Amino acid sequence: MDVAVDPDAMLMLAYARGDVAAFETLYARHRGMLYRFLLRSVRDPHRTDELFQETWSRVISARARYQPQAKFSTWLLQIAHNLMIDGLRRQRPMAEGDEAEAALANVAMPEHEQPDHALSEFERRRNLQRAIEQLPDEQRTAVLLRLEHELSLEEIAEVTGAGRETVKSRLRYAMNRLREVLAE
Amino acid sequence: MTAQLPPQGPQEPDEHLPGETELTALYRQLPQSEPSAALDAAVLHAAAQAVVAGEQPVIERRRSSREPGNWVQPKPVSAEGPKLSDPSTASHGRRKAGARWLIALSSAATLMLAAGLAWHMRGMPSTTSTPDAASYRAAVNSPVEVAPPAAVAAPPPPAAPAQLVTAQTADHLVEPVATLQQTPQMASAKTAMKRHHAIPAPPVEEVSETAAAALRPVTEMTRVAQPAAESYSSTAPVDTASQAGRSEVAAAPMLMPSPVAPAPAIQAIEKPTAVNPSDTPAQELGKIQQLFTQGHDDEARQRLDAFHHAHPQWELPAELDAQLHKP
Repeated sequence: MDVAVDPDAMLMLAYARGDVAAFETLYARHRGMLYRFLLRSVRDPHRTDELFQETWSRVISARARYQPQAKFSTWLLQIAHNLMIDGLRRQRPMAEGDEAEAALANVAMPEHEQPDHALSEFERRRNLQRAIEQLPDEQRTAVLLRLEHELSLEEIAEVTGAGRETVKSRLRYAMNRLREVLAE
Repeated sequence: MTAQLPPQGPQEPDEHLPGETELTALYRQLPQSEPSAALDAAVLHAAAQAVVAGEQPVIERRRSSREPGNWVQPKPVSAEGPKLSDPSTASHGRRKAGARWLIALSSAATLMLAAGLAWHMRGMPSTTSTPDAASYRAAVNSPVEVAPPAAVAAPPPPAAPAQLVTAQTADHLVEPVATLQQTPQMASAKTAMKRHHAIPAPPVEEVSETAAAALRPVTEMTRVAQPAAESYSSTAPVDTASQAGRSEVAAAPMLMPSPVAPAPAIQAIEKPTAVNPSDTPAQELGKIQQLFTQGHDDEARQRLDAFHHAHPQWELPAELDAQLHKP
């Protein structure tokens, strides 16, 4: 993608010049996907809130030096990923098992997905969610970046700091595992 | 910041992994969680405040050696309005607080070590010159200005009566007369010292009144030396055992320069007619008269000649004048 015409990058540059409205637009476009990425990665709503705020705080602080050399979303996810890894290094315990499931289940669902939907679809989504949670951290991050944000292998490699082939391998293992779970 | 990101070139169409389309479709049906309104408000408020604050300096955070990848992220803006909660900064703060705590602890430990060492060194024997011992020696030597240290350390030659007196006074300071003037602490230390060195010392009762009068400089000297000893003992701990031990140690330099037997000192005490350079002419004449009275005519005549030679204008008593002109 040509970053010179990345609308997000344009918005970020506008915000760096003092346009608060540009930031509001930028924020509205990325808040959901960033939040979900963090929530499904750390599986702890409180920790997710902290990381979410910290990520945007870094974006705000870096506005004066921002140069659109990459997609804004890639840069944003890179910041979030690094903060998340930094937190994992400090070995902050994450929500596990039922707690994580409850945290993810408590989020609001679209109205058309409320309890009157078919049980089989609900079970499949639930299985997918559990399977994602049970993936190793690196595979889970890769698959979330792929499924949630539809990033390319290069972009995932850029965000995670791994090589392209490593990312491809992680994705392959992760998706095989998810397919196995869904097929059970 | 983004300078470390590789430039984006034209990308090849990304290959799809097997089953990816199905997984993506199912993933899209998962609950679409979003940040709360309060979180949105906090972020937007922080962004607006940052613009209002404007020219606040932004410090770029360097990647530390422990951080992977191209982590180049600025430090969060800390002085802006209702600040976003910053977990990373909070953890740094905890780390800084821990570092401050460690610094305080290490400082306290250092102080304790220094104090302990100082306390230990104060109680250690000093072979050279601790301040107390030095002041003590100064006090000992000050009244006897003509006495070199060698005179104290070695027995004086018999041909030098003045030095003999000096050595004797020093010995008296060490042994009998000093015993009279000691504080209780010094006395106990002295007792321990005597037990240790077994140096024979004449009993205090042997010191006669006349001898004490003749040795007035010595007593003056002990008066000077006593404050030094008291000042030393005032710094001593209350513990009697350590007091005695330390006093023994401190008294060692006092005993060391006394290889001279105490006999000359007693002799000097019992010989009030000995030459004393600090005597006035009248006192010297009195001693010469005593010598004549005691029958030491030769010594008396010598000293009378010396006196007349030193004080030719001095009017001698008739009897001494007669002795002077006696052939």
